[in-house]
Amino acid sequence: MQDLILIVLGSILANNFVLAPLLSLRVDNEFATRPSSFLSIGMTAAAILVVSSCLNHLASEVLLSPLKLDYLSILIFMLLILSVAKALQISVIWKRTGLSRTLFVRNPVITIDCAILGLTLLRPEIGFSLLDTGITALLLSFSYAGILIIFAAIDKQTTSLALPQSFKGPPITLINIGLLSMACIGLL
Amino acid sequence: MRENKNYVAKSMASPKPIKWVMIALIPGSTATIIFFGTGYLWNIAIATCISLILEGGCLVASRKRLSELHDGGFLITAIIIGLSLPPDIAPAIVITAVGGAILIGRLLYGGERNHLFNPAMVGYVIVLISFPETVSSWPAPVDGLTNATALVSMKYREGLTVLEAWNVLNGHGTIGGYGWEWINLCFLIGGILLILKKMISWQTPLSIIGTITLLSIANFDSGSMDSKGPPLFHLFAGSTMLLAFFVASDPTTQPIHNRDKAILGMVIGSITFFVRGWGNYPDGAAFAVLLGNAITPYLNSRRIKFNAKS
Repeated sequence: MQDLILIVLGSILANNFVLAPLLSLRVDNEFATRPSSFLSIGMTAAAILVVSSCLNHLASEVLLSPLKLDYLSILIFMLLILSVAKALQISVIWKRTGLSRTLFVRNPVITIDCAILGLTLLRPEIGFSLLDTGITALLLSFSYAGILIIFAAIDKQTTSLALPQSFKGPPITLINIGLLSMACIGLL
Repeated sequence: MRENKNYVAKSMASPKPIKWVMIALIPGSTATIIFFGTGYLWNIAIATCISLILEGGCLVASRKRLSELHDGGFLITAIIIGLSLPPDIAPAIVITAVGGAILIGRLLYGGERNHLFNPAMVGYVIVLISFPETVSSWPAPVDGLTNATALVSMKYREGLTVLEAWNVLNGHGTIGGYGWEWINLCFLIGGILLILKKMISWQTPLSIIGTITLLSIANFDSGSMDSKGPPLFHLFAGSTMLLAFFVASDPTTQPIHNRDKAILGMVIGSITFFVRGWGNYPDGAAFAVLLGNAITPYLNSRRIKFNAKS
């Protein structure tokens, strides 16, 4: 368990895999600063990441390795993540319940980010067991939610500052991300 | 959104502490210069000149009034950078640090009392991760034997117990390394002066010091090979007091509510301690401050929401 936490902390803070998807820059601010959003974003990401990474693990153990098709693993993994995300989105639309519906319908960015995250962090080549993969995916999705919320708050605060005209909007967000990743280097 | 703007306006209207911060920095910087030589004077002089040129140049370029220079926040940034870098370092490194601090840390965020991340620490981190060895190596205060601060030799002592490391590395003092204990004590006095003058809040420094003390007591095992160092050592070595009173307590980057200030102090203190104990760098204060500044907007926005509800 301690190893897992170390792996997750290291990959998130030191390698900045979680900061990379933030470059998509389009997460809805209003939604991300809502009180319950930490839990809900985390749950969304967890649902996608845990299911798809476990599926992928099984696929690579049962299908790809025995058939010596390892070179297809990245393609298969992308296919699995996107189909899991889409399936969850469709099932949620039919349910018509408030929060989770808003999450999936209004923020496809989250699902795309999850795909990027999963692709970089949870590939079967790393050599985790099935349980390892599941737990890592869970922790990962909650730290992703945490960073998303922190950045939403930073964005909100910077909009109220008297920034130079040419640095309003995305440029200052990029600078914030850069400064935060510099700070994360210290935790390597 | 409206509440948020009000809060920003309120924190911008806080009294100008620049003069008193300068006065409070005097004891600490005098002690530093006494123990480590006049290299510091050069650092501070170069940093101050460059920051003046950059700030003035940017004000002219952005067609603002030069009278904004009177606010003087850039001087504090320059002095803190001069004090954090080792003496007799190459001037180009000082210039890089000040340039990063003034241009990226201050002016991109719109100048005085606007910055989100502490400018001095932005500049310091830029040079720290660009030239890690140069920035971490300090001249020996007395005997010319050692070339490292107490924190560096504590970190890279290669399996010695604490007491052995103390004896081998000659010239280290009783608590936090020769000279450093007095320097930190002087910064502590300056910080207490600032608190008495109500220029900074007492919550953040107290909770930083308390967190570091508690964590080092919890991790202390009477000085074995894996020990992270005794509590007093952590308080009086490196830049703990400068961090607690002059960097982390910067009124602009502080959260609005008192409980949040204490939370911020706990975050900064624990990250500092963890980087010292387990990270790759001997002192994690600068990283801790940047990470702490990053969560401040979240702490503020959370509180606003609670207020709006009730």
